[in-house]
Amino acid sequence: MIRYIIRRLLWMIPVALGVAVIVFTLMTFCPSDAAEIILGSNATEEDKEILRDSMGLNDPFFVRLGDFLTDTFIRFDFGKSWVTKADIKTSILERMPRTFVLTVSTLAISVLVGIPLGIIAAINQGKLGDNMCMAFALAGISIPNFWLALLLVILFSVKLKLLPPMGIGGLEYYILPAIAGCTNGIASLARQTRSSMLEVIRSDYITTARAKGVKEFDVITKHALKNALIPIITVVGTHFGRLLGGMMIIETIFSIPGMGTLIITAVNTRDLPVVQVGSIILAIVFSFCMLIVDLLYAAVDPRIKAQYESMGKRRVKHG
Amino acid sequence: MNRKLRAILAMLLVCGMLLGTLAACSGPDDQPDTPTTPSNPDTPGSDGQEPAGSKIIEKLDVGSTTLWETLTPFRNTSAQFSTFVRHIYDRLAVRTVTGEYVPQAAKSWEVADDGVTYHIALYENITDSQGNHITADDIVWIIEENMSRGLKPCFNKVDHVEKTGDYTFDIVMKQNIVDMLPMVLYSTYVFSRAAFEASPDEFATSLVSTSPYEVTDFVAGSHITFTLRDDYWQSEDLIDPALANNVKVLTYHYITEASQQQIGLETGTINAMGSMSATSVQNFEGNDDYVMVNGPSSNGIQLFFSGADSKVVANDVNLRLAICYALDIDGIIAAAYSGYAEPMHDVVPRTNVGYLPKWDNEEYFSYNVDLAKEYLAKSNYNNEELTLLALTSANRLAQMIQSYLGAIGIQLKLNVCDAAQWSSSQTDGNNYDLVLAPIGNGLVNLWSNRFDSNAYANGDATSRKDQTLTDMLYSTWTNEGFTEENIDAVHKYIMDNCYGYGVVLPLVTAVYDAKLNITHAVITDSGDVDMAASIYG
Amino acid sequence: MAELEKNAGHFLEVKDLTVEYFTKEKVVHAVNSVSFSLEKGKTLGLVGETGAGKTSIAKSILRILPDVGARIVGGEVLLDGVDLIALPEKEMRGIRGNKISMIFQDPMTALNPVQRVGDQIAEVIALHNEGKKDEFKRRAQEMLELVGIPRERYSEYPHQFSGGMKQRVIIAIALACNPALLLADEPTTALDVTIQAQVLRLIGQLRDKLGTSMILITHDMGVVATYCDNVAVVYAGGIVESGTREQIFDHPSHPYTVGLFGAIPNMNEDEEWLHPIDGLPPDPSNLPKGCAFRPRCKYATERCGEGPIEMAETPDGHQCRCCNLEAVIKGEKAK
Repeated sequence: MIRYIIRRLLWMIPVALGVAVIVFTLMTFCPSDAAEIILGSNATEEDKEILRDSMGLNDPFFVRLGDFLTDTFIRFDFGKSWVTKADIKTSILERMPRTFVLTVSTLAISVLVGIPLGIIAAINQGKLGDNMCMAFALAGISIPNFWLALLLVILFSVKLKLLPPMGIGGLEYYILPAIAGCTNGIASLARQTRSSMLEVIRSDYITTARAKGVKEFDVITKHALKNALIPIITVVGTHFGRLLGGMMIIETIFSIPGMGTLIITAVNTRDLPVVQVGSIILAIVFSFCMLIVDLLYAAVDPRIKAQYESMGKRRVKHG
Repeated sequence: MNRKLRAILAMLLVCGMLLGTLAACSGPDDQPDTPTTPSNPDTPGSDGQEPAGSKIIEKLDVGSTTLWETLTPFRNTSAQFSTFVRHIYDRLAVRTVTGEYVPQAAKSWEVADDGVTYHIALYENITDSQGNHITADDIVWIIEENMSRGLKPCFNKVDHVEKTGDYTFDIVMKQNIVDMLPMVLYSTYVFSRAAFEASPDEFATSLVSTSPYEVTDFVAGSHITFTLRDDYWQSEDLIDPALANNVKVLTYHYITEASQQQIGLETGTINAMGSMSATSVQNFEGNDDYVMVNGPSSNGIQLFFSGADSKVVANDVNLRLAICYALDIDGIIAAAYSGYAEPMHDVVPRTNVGYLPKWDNEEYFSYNVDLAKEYLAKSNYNNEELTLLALTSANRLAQMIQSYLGAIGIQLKLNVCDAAQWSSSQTDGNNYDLVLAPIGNGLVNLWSNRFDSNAYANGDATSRKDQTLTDMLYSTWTNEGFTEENIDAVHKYIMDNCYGYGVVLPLVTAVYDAKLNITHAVITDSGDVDMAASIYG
Repeated sequence: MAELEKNAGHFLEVKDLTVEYFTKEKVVHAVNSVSFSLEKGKTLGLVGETGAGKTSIAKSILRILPDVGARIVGGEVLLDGVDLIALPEKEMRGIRGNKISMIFQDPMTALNPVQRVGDQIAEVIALHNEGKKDEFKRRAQEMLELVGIPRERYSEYPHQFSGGMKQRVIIAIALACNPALLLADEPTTALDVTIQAQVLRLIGQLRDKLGTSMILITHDMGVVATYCDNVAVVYAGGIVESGTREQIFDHPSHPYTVGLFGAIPNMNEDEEWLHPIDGLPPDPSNLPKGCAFRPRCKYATERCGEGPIEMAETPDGHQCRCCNLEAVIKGEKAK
């Protein structure tokens, strides 16, 4: 098992390198003028040329790529943003925790609401409970986040004065953003849980459990749910990865300076260093997510754990 | 779920969303049908009048659409005109709403006879919050650092800097161009070299400054809090009213989402919002709990014509005139700006130094469809499709231009793109026939930016090579040549040849809580209200 | 007195059990008015082809028919005089795994893949007994040994066991609480032949040791011959013939039963062709009026199609649901 984890961790290095090279190449050949972006439209051509030289933008592509890779991966010097001149490492270290808290709380709500919804729908298949839960889930996918966010703010901040409408601070600042952002997650989790559970509930071992005299509640939670978890964990994992980069709308509405706003703003302003480093960081975080998801599989299903362990053993045989 | 149920559910969802939106729409007021002329409790003018003493406010929260990501002084020009900048750094000189430059750290400056050398005298008692004394050594080093880093284009115009005394120094410009030096003074932030070099991150997260305020809380992307110092170096009577400090603890919050700007005011998260977006501003019209103050933006929106020979507009003045007369500016102001804009009388906005007030009384391409069609008939236009390059922020305006031109028979295709795309396309006139640009920041700067045919490889900013105009510019923008006569001549030349058309000057609106009881709102050079300098009753 | 004794004697009595499966479109009559009884300590073999309704009968006794689409429409299941159909769910749970256990057909899927094998046995013990966890674990380990699995394998998972061993685990689970009645639904059909013998022998041994009554569902007449005391033949959801093992094997009377025996190839003769029964079983959602076997029966008459057929008594004293019995007996004797 340890071998498996180590191997996965080692794989992250080529992934990060690959992302770095691809993003760097794409952004370099994107039609845009960094000097004009930095200096603004009120600057002359001469001004821009001076800046381009000083930034090394006129060097050949491979030289720049090499510099970038050595700076980022060996010296861990992420450089400064072209547009804001802020130190990128500092920006990321400041913003990542906020996005993380937001993402985790959004995901937590999605899981705590979505999975039970799916279970109820599966148990009451075809009946009112099923239709109601699936209707709720459908609403979740269809309602646009920003619309819901503003309605929540109007209700809880303006009318009821219970929660702050925007900004950062203690945990109460993350409640409305998390609720606004979780609807999509609830929907996909509910649907996945429902279909997983339906499949599992038909299994023979569920009948065995019932034949043993197990309480229905325990049949659902202990026997069925544990077996239905594999696809659900997959959905949770990919959802988490998506949320990390995709919370930009929520972050903008609630004035939370997070990774989402950082990267999207950087893309719009062609702030190359930020986009590059941001993409690499996100790629690494996403790889971690996938590793944790895979480890969770092993924790839940012993057959998968055996598979991982045998993968390591096979290697040893050939080595 | 069966099909019927799904359909009913979809309908319910749509109705629910509609109801929710409508319910939320009942803001503080109903929207008026006709756009009212924006109200102004004070006409923006030079703050030469002696204001009555102001009450000092303990704490104020202000919303802002811009914020600095880092506090380092060597930076590019983005957000350089924001209201809060003066609380971070003192400058050598500060620009007011009329475009005049008033002294702050520099006591005085005068130009020598050669037209390129400026003698600057520094105040001798400048200290920062740690007690460091500022001398000419510091300032000379700061300017030279700015020059070598090349982030602000105004420093590229400086040839060299020389210290001439403990508190005096000379700045020698490369060219004899008026208004270039004041920009340098405005862009030079004052601080102690020793303190800067002692900082681990070049003042990025915490700084030692000479300004009246100390930065006591700074979260990049979220907010910045200033607390008034009691040991500011400048004496009260020498502080220009535009730079007064009537708030003790001042926090600027970064709020970009339009509805949230309004919600912030309603929930008391902020007491004032600068540069509120036009959609939200309308909801405050007629509401006595809030005061709205409009100021002119320092950039206008102008229409420029391509000067590249491949383009049909380049050599056809009648076509250009036709286009200009076909646009209904009043209609544009009402529809694209909800009334929050002014017509212009030159490519240069009236807020820029060099603008001659007498132009306000002149005829300037007023809306005349018949005249437009006449010019069109005289032109060589043969139903070609023209292209208009515009920023996404000017999308509505571009669409309206398209329909006005369509009404007189000109086919216009729109090329609306984001800032990065736009800026890479706009300097080559072969990419478009017309371009909408937000230009300002000084008459000389605008001319140099747009009409100097030596500025780019293909000509000026629209790839035009008009040597006559270029020569006129060079002789007008020197210190000696900057006369009313010469300026007017350039203005007429550009108008007669219709090289550019000042479409609208957008108004910037600040909204604040009426309970603040501001008796005199100080307006900045970018049209915003300076909450610290305003007078509280 | 004699009456009481007669009734008290029936350990399990099923009366007119009727079960339906239903969808929006149609209703499937899976079990039609089935009645039989079982004495304590005896084994009843339920024989019939796939789809005859045998599993449904067993599941109805335990009341573990699927929630959706299945329904016990009528009848009684009396266990020591108590009607299981009418029992509240909570009490029924106390009976499942405890007084009545079931072994299922497919061992590969009958165990929970993410739960340790030993724990699955301990679970059923814990459900029906007081005590500590260690106690349950110990007893589970004893059960493992009883079915021939070393107790060290307690912590392993089902995927680490072969098919035959999995079935042993299932047997362990079923017998852990020493049930009075064991329902074995084709316990060896999914196993290969050599293992089949082992597992059946194990079941037989444990049954004898613990004195368990059993209903053994199978389609294999050889199994019936070895392990069953009584036999009931099921066709199209109803019992068409029932009696002791000797009676059925020596004197099969119903045309269907005759056909079943006839379909078994004779080892001692050199035959080229098998002799299946002509035709196919009827569609359970559309059963013919009268005898369900009529379309395939050589001896069918008009009367066979008129109404439900009653059980008739055969010459040697067992039950047969045929209205043309004499003709059948005569016809078969002639062969």
